[in-house]
Amino acid sequence: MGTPLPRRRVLLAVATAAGALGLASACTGSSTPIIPTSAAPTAPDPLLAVLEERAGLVEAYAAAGRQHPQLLPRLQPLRTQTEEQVMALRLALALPERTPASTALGTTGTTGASGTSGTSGATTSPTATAVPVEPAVTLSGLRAAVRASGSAAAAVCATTTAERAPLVGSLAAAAACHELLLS
Amino acid sequence: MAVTDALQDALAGEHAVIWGYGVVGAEVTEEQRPDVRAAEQAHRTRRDATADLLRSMAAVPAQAQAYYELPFPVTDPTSGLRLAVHLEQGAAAAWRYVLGQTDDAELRRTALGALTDAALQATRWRLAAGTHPATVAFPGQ
Repeated sequence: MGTPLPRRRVLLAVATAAGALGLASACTGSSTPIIPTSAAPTAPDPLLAVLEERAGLVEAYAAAGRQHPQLLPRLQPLRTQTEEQVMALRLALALPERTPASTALGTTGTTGASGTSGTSGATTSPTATAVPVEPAVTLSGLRAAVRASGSAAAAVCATTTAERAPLVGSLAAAAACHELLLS
Repeated sequence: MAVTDALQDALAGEHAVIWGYGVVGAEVTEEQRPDVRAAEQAHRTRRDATADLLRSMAAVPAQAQAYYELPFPVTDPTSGLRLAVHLEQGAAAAWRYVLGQTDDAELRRTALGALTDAALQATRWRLAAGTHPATVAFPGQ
């Protein structure tokens, strides 16, 4: 260790001191990897599953908000942050950008979070919702979906490349925090 | 940067957080004090485990500083909670960084556990402070 004193002090002085020095490379690195094309045909990229889960969550939040507008103040920030995560994952996977609005309207067919039973039923027409679901049940379904998404990210975090691990780890931690706010 | 260096930084961060919680504890309300103590204890446990881990890697664990510079004046419960959030964000950043410095799955799990705990505690402090939203999209970033 040739850098010690100033560096350790900075961690307290500036929130992301460790980050400011080292994380910057980790952060930017995680958002710009290029997937080797030779890896594509063999097995699906595990990060794709993480992306699909998060995209499914965005839709689940949208559906829950339509079903229970009174939950919107609580759910909207979580949905916004999840949309940011989806965009970061698309960047990491070098996928073309897509506007979050298209998923927010709930008109796409992507339903990655199949565990969100009770929230994915109300898609475009609230009047078509046959069985009214209690807000508590909806929240419980969201909680389960968020937890599953966090577990999936944690599993990928253990085995993915060093370049991607910080991003995926962040997503796992964020899921734990979102789950807390849904409790 | 070798993983031991990243762990040394994380350990140095834990030292700083423990010191910082001493400041937080002096400023928060009586009702919040047990939560501060619990959070501080969690970091003491993490510090000891990290020092042990470094020793097992034949490294000499980083020592705590006698004094750390505060990022802003901490003079009341509000700024105390703000510092608490700041401390947890710093810990989260250090542990997030460790994730990218190793391919060892077990060490990744350890680092992720620390990152998640710090992110959760930051969320609890934001809730206590009435900060909205209480979460961030990318903890530790």
